[in-house]
Amino acid sequence: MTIGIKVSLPGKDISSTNPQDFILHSQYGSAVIYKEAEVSVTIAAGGTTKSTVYYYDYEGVNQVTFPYIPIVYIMAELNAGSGKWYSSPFTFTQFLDIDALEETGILSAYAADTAIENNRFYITFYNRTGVSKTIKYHYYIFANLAVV
Amino acid sequence: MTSGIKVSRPGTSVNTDDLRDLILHSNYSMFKYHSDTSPTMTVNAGDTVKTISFAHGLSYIPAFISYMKTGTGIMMLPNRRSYYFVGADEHIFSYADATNIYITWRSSIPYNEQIIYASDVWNTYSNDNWYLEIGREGGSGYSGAIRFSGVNISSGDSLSYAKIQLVTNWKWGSEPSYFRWLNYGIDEDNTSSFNDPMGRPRTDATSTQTRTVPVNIGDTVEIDVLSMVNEIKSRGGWSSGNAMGFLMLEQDSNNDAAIVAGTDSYFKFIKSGSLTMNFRVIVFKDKIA
Repeated sequence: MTIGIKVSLPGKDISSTNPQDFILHSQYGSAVIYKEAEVSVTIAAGGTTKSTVYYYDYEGVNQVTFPYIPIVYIMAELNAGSGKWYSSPFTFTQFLDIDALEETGILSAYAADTAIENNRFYITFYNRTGVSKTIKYHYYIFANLAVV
Repeated sequence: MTSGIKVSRPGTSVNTDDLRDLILHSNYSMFKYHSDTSPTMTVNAGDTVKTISFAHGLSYIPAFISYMKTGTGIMMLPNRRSYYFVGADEHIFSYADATNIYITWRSSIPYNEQIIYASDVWNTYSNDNWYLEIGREGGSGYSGAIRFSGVNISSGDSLSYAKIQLVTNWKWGSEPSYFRWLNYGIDEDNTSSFNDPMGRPRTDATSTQTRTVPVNIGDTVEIDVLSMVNEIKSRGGWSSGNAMGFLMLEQDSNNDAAIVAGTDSYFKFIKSGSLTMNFRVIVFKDKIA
């Protein structure tokens, strides 16, 4: 018999063999949120801004380099104050003709623009308007889920 | 020492420094499940944008993940459907506000529209296939013809529209002078490459077209040819992929009013039909904003 911990959903049997019936099951991985935060980015009129977030330890004192590349999930309000938050990955935004919906967009055509590394991630915004814009994005780092 | 709970994977120590070994760590939170919804979107012929939404029931903007179900699995949104119909650049993405989750489909061209560039053109000015001309130089009138190969319309297809777009390569005269012509389809199952096509059989369907001389080189002149296309595809010998041609016989144009076009002109049509896409959206109680 394997020793472990299981917590089932209300109404579900703890003996279930369906992983979806569990809130926690030590046989399976889960998405632990290592860090989440909201970031404001100011982008000059017609310009681009690369926003970089470095990873820190739990106390927020020392920078951390993971021995792997974690998964990062981002939602961005591309039109300041609109209340519309787009979800990542932002693969569509490299095609300017198709995402011309909001005042700002995300450059994701090249890894130099928007990517995740083992000690940081960065995301590059562009501003299609003629005035400076300050937009927000919210990120989650799932540090126990590795891309590679 | 900090008090807390840690649960590690089978075979790993709870004292590990590698977070990948931990399933639960009370220093860190996890997404809290809220709902799982399977919305459906139907895109109709001619649509370029479609948005569906559903209420998430939270009074704030929640974290969520959306997927599109494909024939063989799922793909995370946003994403592109790579050229599902010819020439299209389709994008599907999702966003949330404090009331709803939205999924939007956008396409660079209308759904089910197809574009075919001309394979042959003809003019009666010099009776060659160098270009198409309609109109008059001085008082002399000139006619043209255009052919499209590989027209993938079946006889049973229903078309929302069928149009020729002549791209102005050169012109005679300027507004408000006009050129006028009688437009016909070539009434053949698979009209051959042009070698003086002006005597080929004409469709019963015809239309009189009048246009002012285009303002700029590169401007397009649009011609509705739906009735002619319907007549040609209804022929007993017509098959999808055959070539289709059109005759443009100059008539009563102003003097010195003409358009010259080449094989950059094109034929576009929309077949009827719709696309149904199925999604799955998982909403978490975790607040974004």
